[in-house]
Amino acid sequence: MSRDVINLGWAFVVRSVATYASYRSKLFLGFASLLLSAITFLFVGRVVELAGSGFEDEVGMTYTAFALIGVVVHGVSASGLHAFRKTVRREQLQGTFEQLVSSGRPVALLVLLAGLSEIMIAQGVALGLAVIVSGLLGVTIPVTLPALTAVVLYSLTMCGIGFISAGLTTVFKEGEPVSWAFGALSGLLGGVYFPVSLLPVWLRRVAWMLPTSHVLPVARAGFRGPVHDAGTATHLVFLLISAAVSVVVGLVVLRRGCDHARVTGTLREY
Amino acid sequence: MRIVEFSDVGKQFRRRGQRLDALRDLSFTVAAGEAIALVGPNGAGKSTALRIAAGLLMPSCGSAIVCGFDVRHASTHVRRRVGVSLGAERSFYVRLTARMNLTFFGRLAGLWGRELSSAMDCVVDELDLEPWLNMRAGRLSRGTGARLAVARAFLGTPSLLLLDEPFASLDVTGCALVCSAIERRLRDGCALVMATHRMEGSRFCDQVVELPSPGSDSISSPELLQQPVAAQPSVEHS
Repeated sequence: MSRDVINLGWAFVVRSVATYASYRSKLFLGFASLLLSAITFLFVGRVVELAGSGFEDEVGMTYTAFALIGVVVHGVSASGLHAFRKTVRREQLQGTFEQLVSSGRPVALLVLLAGLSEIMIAQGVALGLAVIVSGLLGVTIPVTLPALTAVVLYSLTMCGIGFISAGLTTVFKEGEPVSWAFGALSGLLGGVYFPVSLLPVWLRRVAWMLPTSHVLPVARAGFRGPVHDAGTATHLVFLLISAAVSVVVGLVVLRRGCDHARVTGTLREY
Repeated sequence: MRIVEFSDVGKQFRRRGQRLDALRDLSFTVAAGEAIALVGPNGAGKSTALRIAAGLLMPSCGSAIVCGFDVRHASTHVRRRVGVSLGAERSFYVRLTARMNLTFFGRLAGLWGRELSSAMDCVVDELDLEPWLNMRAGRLSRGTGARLAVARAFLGTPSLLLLDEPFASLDVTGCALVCSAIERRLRDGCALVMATHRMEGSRFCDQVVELPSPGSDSISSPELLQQPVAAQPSVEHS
């Protein structure tokens, strides 16, 4: 990576941090919301335990740990899904998108760096909170090499879909359907809040087409000790392919979206 | 050396099935150190022409060569060589200070460290922005915002300046500051294309091109409208 790109990335990080810091109450409330939802899972977990459903025996961990890992992995990685679209949208609304493009830097690089700086802040806050909350709840999130690899690949996949979403946002402005569909389906079918095995068979087939359904089993597998089985390898291969395809398609769609906006004169429209 | 060569450049938009002519058959050339003013009524296509020259908008017809590059096929190269101010309002990060905005856009223009500090000091001094540097961009007055937008366009020593109504919100002092800063850059070989309603800036322009009203068929007399204004008494060229 060239020094120029690193410098440019740093410029975006400084800009994003300064902007975030200027909204103090938003920062505080966002932090409080995450904390409250984590505590909610603690109590839901206790209810599941009181109900004696045998969740722990079946899944291999308490519901609190199950949900916490689901929310942290999905939430942290999926920030890429929305960050690029939100970046394009916000720049358009502020009127700065055209000014960014006029710098002569490749548009994909600008959107990537602007989105990444947002993701770094969001992930930094979420991970910090995850450490605090897991300490409060007495849940230790095991970090294994397959889990880390899966999370990185999942994050790349989400970034790729995020590029597609950003490219479509340059054209549609609002109502872009890709990030909505992936966000909603991943939450519902990806095994974030409950195991995929609870779904009807026909829905399970849909669920296994989502990258979320492949990252969470690997991330949670650490609870049952080091796992290097065929299942983990299959999940990682799926995530590798989905990351490669989505990033390539995403960059093409983003470029096409900006070219379309240059033709129609809608770069600065919102 | 020719910096801008527009030949029969036109732009049409399609809005709900209807064709809208935003710009028709605009031709002009600007050499290094020269300035041209695009004048005309609202909707004549002045801003559209500037956006095409900036590589932000594709022309529908004609040929637009800027800094030796075709805006249709090499817009990234074009954008690297131009400094643009396309309307001061809504083009800054309103939560960041004027200094932070200049720093950010300076870095985007490839300036770092001492080079950035020196470029910023220069434009801040020229346009008298020092008292407002630590104020959020969203709280600046229109005139100060306009000067900040011009300052941003100067960062990175562009070969071509594209300024849309740079004097629109400025008082007499502000106009004088912007005029002298532009003249300094013209002397250094930078070219200028400016859209304006006011004639303050046209005193240093070598050409004034009047764009026809939207809906009218043609410019009344292209020869007359594209005549050099260097002969005007107020013009001083060095």
